[in-house]
Amino acid sequence: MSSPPSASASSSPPPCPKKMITLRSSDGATFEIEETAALQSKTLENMIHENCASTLIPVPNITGEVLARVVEFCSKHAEAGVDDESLGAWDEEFVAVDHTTLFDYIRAANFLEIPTLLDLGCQTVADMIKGKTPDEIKKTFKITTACTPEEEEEVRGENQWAFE
Amino acid sequence: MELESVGDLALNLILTKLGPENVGRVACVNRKLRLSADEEALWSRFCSEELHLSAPLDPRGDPLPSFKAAYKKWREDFRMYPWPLVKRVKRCWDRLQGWLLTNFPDAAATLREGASEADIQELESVLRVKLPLPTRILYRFHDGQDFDESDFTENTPGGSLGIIGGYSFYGYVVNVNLLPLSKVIMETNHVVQHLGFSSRSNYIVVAASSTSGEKLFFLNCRDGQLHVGTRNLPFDGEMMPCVPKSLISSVHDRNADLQQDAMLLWLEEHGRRLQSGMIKLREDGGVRSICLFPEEPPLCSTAITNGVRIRSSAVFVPEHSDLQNEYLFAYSIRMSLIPEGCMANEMPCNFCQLYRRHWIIRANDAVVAHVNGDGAIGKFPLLHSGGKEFVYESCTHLKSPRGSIEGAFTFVPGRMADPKGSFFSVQVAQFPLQLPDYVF
Repeated sequence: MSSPPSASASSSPPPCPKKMITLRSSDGATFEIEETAALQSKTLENMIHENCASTLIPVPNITGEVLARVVEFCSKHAEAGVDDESLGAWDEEFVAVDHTTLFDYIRAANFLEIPTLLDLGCQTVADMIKGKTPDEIKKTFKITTACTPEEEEEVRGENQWAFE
Repeated sequence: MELESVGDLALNLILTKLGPENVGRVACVNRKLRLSADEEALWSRFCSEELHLSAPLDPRGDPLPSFKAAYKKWREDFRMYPWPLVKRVKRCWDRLQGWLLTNFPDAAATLREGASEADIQELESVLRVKLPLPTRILYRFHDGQDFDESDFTENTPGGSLGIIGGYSFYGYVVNVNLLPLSKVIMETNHVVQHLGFSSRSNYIVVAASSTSGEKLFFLNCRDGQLHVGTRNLPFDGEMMPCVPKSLISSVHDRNADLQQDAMLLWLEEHGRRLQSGMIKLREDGGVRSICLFPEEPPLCSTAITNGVRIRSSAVFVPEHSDLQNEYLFAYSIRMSLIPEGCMANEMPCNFCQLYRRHWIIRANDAVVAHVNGDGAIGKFPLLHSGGKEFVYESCTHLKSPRGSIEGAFTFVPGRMADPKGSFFSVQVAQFPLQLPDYVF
């Protein structure tokens, strides 16, 4: 137990406990997130304002692995005093993952309605597509479902201007 | 998991961020992506952002069944040009045409449809020139102006619908219009012959005053600069540049990042001046035309003395100037009496009449002339309170490209035949005479 501050010195108010929300992933893992961070998600914001957030919130579509990262994202973006440049660098590292994980982030951002994460994820995917030919796009994302050669020729003809 | 698994909302967001060219390629990857890439909402947005189209129209203004089809048609029709330059030229015409449709629909109606690639190639082969890229695209959108018999009336023997506009003083009227390619060929051949330019000259005539054959604008196809003939044009072919030379770049290089020639810069500047109200329509004797006398400070000065407001500005007249230090400036003086009237013997008075004028003319900052005279251009206008401005134009020669005019008018409250008080002096605030960076 620490000694109380001396009466003559200026003392700061005791820290108030931050309100925490608990989320449960599809595979049963639980994660705590500060309320301020949770407000990044419109879905969670609505629940908090309607007081449904007092107990555990199940997030059935998202696995523990992904949910952990989403919680990390929201907490980082709710932090005070982070300048734009460092946040940008942090974001860049956050999305430096394989495309499957990137799609997981996008789906989670969509479900939980987190506009910043959705935008970041989609921009990253867009940047991966920019400047590539259709074949290169297929390779990058390991897309297996393709058009028939006739279909491909038809679409190419329609969009010829995009290749010039 | 596949790209489509991110969901439609996210997919749409990704495609929006990609922009039209990349979306066109994504469409070729597989069936599902093709469907997402075909969404009208996406192409409607691209058409709006890039071409300011709110309806699916082709370059001629005819409707097409979808925004996707419209975007494709635009890209295909202009595929021989750098797309950013095409967008820029469209913005330039949109601004000009927008202003004309709102303020001067009669002139807007004279703008012809775009020329075809074949029309342009024909001109190039007949005149043996190669048009700069921005000018080619300008003509692809509108092939100059068309006039018919009804545009030339008793009051407007040369027409007043030129979209570049002009000025008039002492009965000398200038109104400049843009020539269609067919007239460019005719005028260029005529002038080149007449003025004895070499047959391998790079100059073509692109604009002219319909009212006086003396004002001609020449585009140099090799370097992209625009010139206007000075008063020495008939003697030694003298012309002066219309646009700052340093702005012109890469006029023939399709691969450069930025192409701009004098024609584009000139029309963009003109559009800005119209839109900002720096120049406006003038109505004179029932005839409306675009007037090049500036209407806003710092080029237009305003002063109010004892209720009399005088607004003054000048315009440079290149076709009566030369490069050996002879500069002609025309100036326009607008006078009016505010609704409260003027004061005479501490009583308000609803009329006043011009009696005399006094000018101080400076070249650089040195006084070069004092002018004292009765009335103004032989008139003694009677102003009544809250009435329309009385406008008159005159001119002065200067031996320097920079100077100013200021002065004062003497007015009498009431009329000269029936004065209500003693004469009073009304300030004409100093206004600049200066060779402009853009010459119209």
